[in-house]
Formats: sequence, C-alpha cells, structure tokens
Amino acid sequence: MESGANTMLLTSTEVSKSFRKKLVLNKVNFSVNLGEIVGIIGPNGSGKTTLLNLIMGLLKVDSGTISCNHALSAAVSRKGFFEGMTVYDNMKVYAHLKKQNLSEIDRALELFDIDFGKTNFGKLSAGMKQRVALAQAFMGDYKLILLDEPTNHLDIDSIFKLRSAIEARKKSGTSFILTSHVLTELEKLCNRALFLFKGKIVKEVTATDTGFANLEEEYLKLSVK
Amino acid sequence: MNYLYFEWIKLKSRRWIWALAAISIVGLPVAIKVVMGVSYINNEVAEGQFMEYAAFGFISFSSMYLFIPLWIIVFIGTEFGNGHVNQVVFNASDKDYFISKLVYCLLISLAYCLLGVITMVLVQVTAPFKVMVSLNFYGVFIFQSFFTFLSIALLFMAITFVARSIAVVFVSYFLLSFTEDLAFMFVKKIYDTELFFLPFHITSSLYVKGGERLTANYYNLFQNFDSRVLLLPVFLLAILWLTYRDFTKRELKPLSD
Repeated sequence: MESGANTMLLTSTEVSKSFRKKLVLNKVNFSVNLGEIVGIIGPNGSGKTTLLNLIMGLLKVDSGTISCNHALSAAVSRKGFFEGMTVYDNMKVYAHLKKQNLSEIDRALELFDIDFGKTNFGKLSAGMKQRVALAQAFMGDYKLILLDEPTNHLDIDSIFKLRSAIEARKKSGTSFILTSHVLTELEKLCNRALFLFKGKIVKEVTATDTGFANLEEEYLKLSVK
Repeated sequence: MNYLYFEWIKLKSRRWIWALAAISIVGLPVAIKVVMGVSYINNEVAEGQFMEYAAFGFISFSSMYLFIPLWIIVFIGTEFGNGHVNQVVFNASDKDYFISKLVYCLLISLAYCLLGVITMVLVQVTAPFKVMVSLNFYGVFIFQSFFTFLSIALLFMAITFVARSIAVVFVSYFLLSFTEDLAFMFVKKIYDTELFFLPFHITSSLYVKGGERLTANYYNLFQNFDSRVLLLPVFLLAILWLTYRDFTKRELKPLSD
C-alpha cells in the first residue's frame, strides 16, 4: 500500500441535487482517503445511486463540489453493454475506452471466473451480467472504484471472489466506495460507513481494529428516527 | 482515443449488423437494377439520361428509412438506450463520444458511397443498350453522393442526439419529412417561393435541383451550380454545434439497475 493512508482521494463538499424540484441529495459532505473502503448505507431512494452518478460526472451537481484526484472506475449498473455482442468483445470496447491492453481483459475475466467470454451478453443471467460489470470495473489500475450494490444477483462463490478481489486491490492502495443493502458484507469490507437518509448523511461510523459496532443496529436506530 | 477503431470494433462485433449490411449490399443494387430495367421497358427514361436516373435512384433510396437513416438512428439510439453513452462519457468524455459519432457518420457515408459506385458500374455494364459514361460522371457522382450521405447522416445523428430514443426519432422523421414536403409544396404553389432551407430539402440539394426529392431531377452540381447549396455547410455546422451544446449541457439518464 502506498504511504500516506490519509491522502485525500475524493471530496464531496455541500453537494445538493434535485430532480424536478424534489431534493434528492442535501448538502452531502464526505471524503475518501487512499486505500480506504467507504460504505454508503441507506434505504431505497435515499440518494446512493444519484451520489455515485454525480461522482462519475454523469449527473451535474446543483450546488457544491466533488473533486477527485485520480481517474475512477465503476460498476454502478449492468447497463452499458451490447446485448448482441460477446462478453469478450464488450470487454474489448471497455479496454479501448480505458486505454488498457487486451491482456487486462483476460486478467479481469479470470478474477471473476468468467469462462463465458464467447457468449453473447444478452444471453447471460443477471448474476453473470453482474460479474461482467464487475470485471469491467476491475480492469486497469484505478485508485478509486465505485461499486453500486455489487453483490446483487451474485451466487455465494462470486460473492467470495468479489470480496477477495476488493481486499487484494485494497492492499495495493485502491479505494472503494460501496453501496449495499447487505450490511454484514459492508461490515466485513469497509473502514468507514456513511448512513444516507433522505439525501443527507446522518451518521458516519468508523471501524476500529475489531471492526464495526453492529451496523444493523445502527441502521435500525436511524431509520426509526 | 482511436475513434475509427472504437467504432469499428462496435460495428464488426454484432452479428445482426452483417444481416443489416447484406440488405444494403444486395438489396440496393438489385432494387436500382430492377427499377432501371422497368423504367427502360416502359420508356420512362431516355437513353441519354439512363445513368443520371440511376444515380438519382441510388442516392434517394439510400437516404430513405431502411438505409442510411436506419444505420444512424438504430446505432446511436441503441447506445443512448443501453447506457453505452454514459459509459463512454464516464470513461472518456462527452466530446469523445460526439467525435466518435461524427466518425461513425463518415464511415457509413463512405460505405454507401462505395456501394453507389459499385451499383453504377453494375447498372452500366448490365444496361439493355451500350451506355457510354465518362469518368467525369463517376467523379461527380462520388462527390455528390458522399456529401449528400454525410449531410443526411449528420442530420439524423443530430435528431437522435436530441431525442435519445429510437422510436421517437423514427416518428419525428416521418412527421418532419411529411410536414416539410407539404409545407414546401404549398408555399411553392401559393407564393411561388421555394422553402429551400428546410432540413430535408437543403440536405438533398447536392444531387437534386432545389432539393425537391419528389422529382427525379438529378443534376450535375458543377455544371448547374446553385449558390444556395453553400448554405448547406452553414446549416450543418449550426445543427452540429447546437446538438453538441445540448449534449454537453443536458444530463444523461442516471446509470442504475
């Protein structure tokens, strides 16, 4: 891991976003340090995905700023792939976009045990598509990777693979922003958890050497409020 | 980013594209050949005008629904629909996506231009009488067809970027084209004025006099130069600039499952 674990990689300052006058994010402040895994926890509609889309630059902030020192990679959706194209050819498109060698494709496919490279993307199950989306995100040497509900549709083996892939990348200094409804998963992986309720970060919990205090309990307390 | 390579890998990797290409590669020359044969038998085309008539047929057929518009609308529309645009904007930039689509339009125009030359040679060689055509005819045809196809492709690219949906673009195309033809016809009849600057007329003005697509009035742009054609590049540049502005200012649909 690179020295200076506290080097700021991404900062969100007072970020607000509305859709048709409905406030979705309200003055969101947080930062991500180098080599850190930050989990964002919140109910459906709390603004998690919007926040990731803002970080990716796909949506524009109404007010506030998001600054990032490095190029990002992301798997926030199984969209963006061509149904009538094989998995390998889809990955080739992304390798070109990310300026990666073709050898990176094989490495990423292997990471998620993808042996269906010659199958058309449209013929895959939701879980297989999710693995392809994750492999795409893990292509290249990015310092920050955004993963939106990465365990969705995955079988147990794939969840284990994802977990070890994240841990391996963390060791080499990569930071992650993860959103998930599976709190036990976040407990295992994250250094810090942000609770996002109705567009606001209402609580931030940092893991100690022994891990987190019970995130589920924390979530229940906050949702009752 | 190598735009040409990027567009090419997306084009060649989808099997249905080759089926679509086959429709153009086989369908267009055959359609032109049949139309020319029937027109000749029915004495609808003079021998001296035979190749001009074929050139008009090829360019106008190619500019219609199943050919160039389909390639532009379906491809770019799909990329907006399946989130590919978002991924390109995220991993590269909105400017890169826009340029890659300009390159795509160029590729399609070149492909159709090449197909046009092949079709013209086929029509000439298989004509029911000996057709004498100068190299100059081919030179003018290549110029007129290429720039007509490019103009049509860019116009449809702009419409697709604004509408961002295949269905909406096809309906808009039908309505716009229909309304424009009606407006052109009525204004010409009532006020004796040509609404030359309307989108589909101005883009057709490179091969048909006054952009009147409903007449088979193919003309040699260099012999009968119509200065109004000079408005076309200005029109296209304005459309592209406005489209680019809209694309970079307007938000994309958020990526989520």
